Amino acid sequence: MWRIVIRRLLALAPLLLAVALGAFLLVRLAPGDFLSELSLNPQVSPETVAAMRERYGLDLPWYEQFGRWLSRAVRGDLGYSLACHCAVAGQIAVHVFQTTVLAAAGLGLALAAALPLGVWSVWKRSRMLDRAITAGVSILLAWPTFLWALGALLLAAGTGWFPIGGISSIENEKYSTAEKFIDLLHHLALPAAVVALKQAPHYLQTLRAGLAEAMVEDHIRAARARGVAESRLLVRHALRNAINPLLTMFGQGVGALLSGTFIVETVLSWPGIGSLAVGSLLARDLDMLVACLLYAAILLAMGNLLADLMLAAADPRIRRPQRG
Amino acid sequence: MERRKKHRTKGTKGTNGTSGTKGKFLAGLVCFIAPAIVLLAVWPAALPSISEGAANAQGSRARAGGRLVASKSAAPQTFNRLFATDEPTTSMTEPLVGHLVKINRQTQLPEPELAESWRVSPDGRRITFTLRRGVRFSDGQPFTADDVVFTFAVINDPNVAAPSADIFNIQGQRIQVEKVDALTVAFTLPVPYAGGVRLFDGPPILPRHILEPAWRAGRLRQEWGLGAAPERVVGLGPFKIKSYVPGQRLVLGRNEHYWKRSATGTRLPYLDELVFVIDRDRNTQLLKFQRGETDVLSPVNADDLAVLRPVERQGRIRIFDLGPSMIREVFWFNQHPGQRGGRPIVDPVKLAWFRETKFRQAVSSAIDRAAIVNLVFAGRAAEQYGFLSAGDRVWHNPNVPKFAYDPARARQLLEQAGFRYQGAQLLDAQGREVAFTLTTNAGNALRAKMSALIQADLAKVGMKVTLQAVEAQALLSRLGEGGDYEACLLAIVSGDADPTSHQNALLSRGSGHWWHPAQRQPATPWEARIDQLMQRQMGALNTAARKRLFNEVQSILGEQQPFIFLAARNLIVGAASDLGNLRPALLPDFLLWNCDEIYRR
Amino acid sequence: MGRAVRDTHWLKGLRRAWRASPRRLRFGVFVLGAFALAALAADFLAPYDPAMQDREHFHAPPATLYWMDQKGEWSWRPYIYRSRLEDRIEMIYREDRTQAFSLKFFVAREEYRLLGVLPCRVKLFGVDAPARIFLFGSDGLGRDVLSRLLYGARVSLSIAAAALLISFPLAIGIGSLAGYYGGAVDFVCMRAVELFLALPAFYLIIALSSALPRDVAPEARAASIMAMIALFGWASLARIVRGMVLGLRERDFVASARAAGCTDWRILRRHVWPQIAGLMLVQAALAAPGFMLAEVTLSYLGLGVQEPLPSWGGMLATGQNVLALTGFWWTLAPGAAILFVCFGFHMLADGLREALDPRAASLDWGD
Repeated sequence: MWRIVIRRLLALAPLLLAVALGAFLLVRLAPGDFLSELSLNPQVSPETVAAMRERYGLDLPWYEQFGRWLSRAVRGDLGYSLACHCAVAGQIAVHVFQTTVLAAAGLGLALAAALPLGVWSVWKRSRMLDRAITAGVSILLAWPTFLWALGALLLAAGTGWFPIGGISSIENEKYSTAEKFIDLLHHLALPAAVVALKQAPHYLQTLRAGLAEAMVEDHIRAARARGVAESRLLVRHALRNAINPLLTMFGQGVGALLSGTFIVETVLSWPGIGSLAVGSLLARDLDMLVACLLYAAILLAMGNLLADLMLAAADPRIRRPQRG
Repeated sequence: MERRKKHRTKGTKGTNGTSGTKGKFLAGLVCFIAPAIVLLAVWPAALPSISEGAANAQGSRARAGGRLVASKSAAPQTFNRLFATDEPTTSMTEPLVGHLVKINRQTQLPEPELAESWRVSPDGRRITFTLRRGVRFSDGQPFTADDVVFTFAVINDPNVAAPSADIFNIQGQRIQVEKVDALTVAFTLPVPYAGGVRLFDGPPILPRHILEPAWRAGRLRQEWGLGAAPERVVGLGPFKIKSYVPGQRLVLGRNEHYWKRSATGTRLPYLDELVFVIDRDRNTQLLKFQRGETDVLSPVNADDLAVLRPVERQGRIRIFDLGPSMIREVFWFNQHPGQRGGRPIVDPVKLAWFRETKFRQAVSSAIDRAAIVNLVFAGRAAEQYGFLSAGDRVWHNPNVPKFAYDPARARQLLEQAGFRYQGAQLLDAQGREVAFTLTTNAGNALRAKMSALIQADLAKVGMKVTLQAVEAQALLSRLGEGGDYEACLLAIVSGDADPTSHQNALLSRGSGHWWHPAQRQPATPWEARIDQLMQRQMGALNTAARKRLFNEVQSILGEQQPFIFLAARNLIVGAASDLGNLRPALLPDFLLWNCDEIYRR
Repeated sequence: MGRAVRDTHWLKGLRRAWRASPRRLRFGVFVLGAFALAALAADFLAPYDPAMQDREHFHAPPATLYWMDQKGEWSWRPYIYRSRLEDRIEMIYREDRTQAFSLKFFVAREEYRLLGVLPCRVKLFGVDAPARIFLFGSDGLGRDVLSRLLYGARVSLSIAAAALLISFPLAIGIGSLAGYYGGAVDFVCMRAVELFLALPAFYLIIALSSALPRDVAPEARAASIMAMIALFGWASLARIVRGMVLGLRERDFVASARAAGCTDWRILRRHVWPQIAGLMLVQAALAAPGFMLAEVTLSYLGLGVQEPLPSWGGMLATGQNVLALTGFWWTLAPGAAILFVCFGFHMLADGLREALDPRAASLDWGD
């Protein structure tokens, strides 16, 4: 098992390199650079823009820019954000934390809803329930995230139960730690719910399909023949088998959150990595974008690793030595 | 010798406060584009006309204290006003700084600020400012001529390359600054420059005692980055930084050392706190304002009014419709005859159409501007035909030629120019189909609507228009390089009301001369004539003479239609009813430009 | 143990499915088929050209059909009234009750080509000029939402179908390869997948779509967006496939097949893929609306399919403000359409799953 972990961590380095390279190419692909907007400002002379371009190294070919970035990155310097006139590392840390909180809460909520509901629906074997769930899943999947997010905004504005976007109240600085925590939860509720709404159907449907398949496996049939209670069969036996694809989904769900949360973050003013990354891409703030994507890559690799470890734990056969 | 006396404004002693000149630096002309990701999309339209609130600067009723919350669409990029280039950063850093003069956003005329008075030499090249006595920076250090000299040393420093400094780069030459005594500074301009005093509303006066070491070390840009400690960011504005929570909000606190006093002698500003919260999404901003979580919304979109009207009826908020703003939607053809990479920038066949005056006039007459005003701006806009909007009170020429909606006339003009019809399709003299691509910035709902309307209108006169929405930065880079588009739809925003501020768009060598930027020689006689007129108005110090010259410029533009103007949206702003001394205006920052005088009832 | 060698042939399974679970499957097929047909016959079904702008009636609410005349007697055919904009801020339309326009079927209009070939001049329904019928209301430019919905189905359904057809084979191929062979193959494939996932498709698509050349026709643009969405859709699925294959690889029935000298290809085809088919179908049903919505997100940034070509994503994206939710709810009609398509996909997937695995079907809830 440790071998897997170590091998994966070693494999992370080339992945990160490839992601950084990809990001540079990506920005290269889209025309314009950070100073394009400024260069159109009639009160700014082309000479000034040229001087700034030179200062920021934007006049260099992309591979040279990448080389410069890389030589700094290996020394632990993630670069300089043109958009905020400061080091990337300091700016991104806050956003990383905020996205992680949102993503974790969203995932947690989604799983907390999907797992029991999935098991219960298979156990109940009711046609009505089944239809209701399929309809519900369709609705959740079919409505775009921004409509859910807008709905959440309207709910907040209409009822006053939740804050309208944002992550902390203006008074936050005066709060005690406990109050700050409650304030965070209060702000977190809606965005996390929206994230969960879009994630939960995936888990729910996958789980239900997995359970349905597992329930006809021979060993389960055998157990049933021995008189094991249905509920016990489901939870102790079938769930074990059905959890496998769920874990894989969970692994990449963690990684996919970056693009998944972008709209939620934007509409509900949750300053996270997703909106930061899109903003950086649109503004061509290269170093910041690369840092965001690197974070996403790490998150994804970690999610996948975690999923694989859990997979191995859930299904001992996978741990067996590879076929040679 | 022209000497300007102190201007008085109702209710306040001395002059009025510092403000958000977002556009002054930002631009005489800036293509108005969603800076952040989201649907900055909309601005326009509004409700009842400008209210009594504009004038009720009742210093006596004013009460100190309280907090004003405003939302911004993006986080600031720097705390240094000098380096601010985008709208959110400019308006968030403006309350931190002071200028030598200040343009009264309502009268659109310059007024004394840190300079108590000024003198312009008869040849119009030398401006001498007498500084106000006893002014202190927010850290208590006195303000002197040395700070002004330092500020201009920074501005003239090519290594700093401050974008906002380029307005002092007049025809390739820098402005000369000279300290006469501790409270007198003299500037020498390279050429006579009408309206030169207005330029001094631009640069923030920087504290020499704080920034000089950083400047000498070449680290000026980083010094007041977003990571800076709040107490290091020192200025002459009514507010100073209290705290910044990255990506969430910027809290400004009262500057105890601010020099200005109200008519009753109260120290300004009235407000204790000015808070900018960052909400990237327009809907969030709107709903927060509707719920009263924020106190101002500027500008308000026409569509928002449906949501805001009930709240306005309850009396919680007030909406001001200031009439046509200086944001003019514009549509133009690329007339660049050059080549790039061995290939013509514009297909020579199409270029021939685009350079035909009658073709442009026909397109102009084929566009139903009333529909744009109605469908895109919900009626809260004015049809626009000339270069300036009616909001430019001093300089607008109402008598420019109008190519009003008339498809029959458009067809007639096209036929006169050698085009002909085959069925409904328009062909040029060589029998080729008239078709072109119209490019605009992506993610802007208003412009998406406008381009669909234009597409349908031009189809009626037989032109095939393909629409293309390009993400902002990519579009801007195309414009800057003068190429790779055929026709473009954007907006022109005036940051100041003075003809000289439009130079970059109007002079044939200007980079904002979008239809054919940076020409070595004027390509057409009428462009040469505009160059000449602009040059003359800049040297003329008499306003009536300048007005005559600039009227002619506007007439030529109206006749030639290099820019086909469509509409000027009304400027609408909303504010909580318990805010006093509001004086909304068409120049930015529309609502908070006098934030030092604003108070809560 | 295990389901050992199953001789369920795909075709046979399908036929059996049609018999075994006709309702669920038929329902799915019916819903999807209806949408596909509507998209194909949009020229006939849609009362207006999707680009037609009625500038007097923008954001007009869905037309009210009247069945009784003013004397309270049943009208032999439903009719509507024309309306006029009364309040431009709150967008209130008032009906002009003086003249009724009855709804007519099979009305003659300008000639068009049905399905691109048949010359035809009849539309399903319409009203006499000067009135216009906006059965589902009109959008901000006075265009008929129903017509745009029908024409938009072409773009949106093709996006979903093309994306599924491109990404699923890719995902199943690469995922099985990685899961079945393991070792170095697995390692390489999975790192490739991770790279694709780590450079989120979304960002690549933004970059790519702004790099698209200027002169592409809206149709070509739609096609390239479709391709982009599909090309980046496979990665996450490949991982799921790999996870499942990994589990199956060590099963006894695979081992015995291998011992019996079956080729890898045969094992995959006969033993592995049938096992994962059910879950794959569920994944497909889950992914299809995702592909359609990817276009919504692109349109949200204004980079989707360009006007005047309607697409569900583009139509929804114009509803990205609170006003659409509170005031112009009918402009969200494409959301409902996506919902039905999505539901149809789920039904189809469920039905097929039962068909492919009759024992699961026999055990399934509800019988």
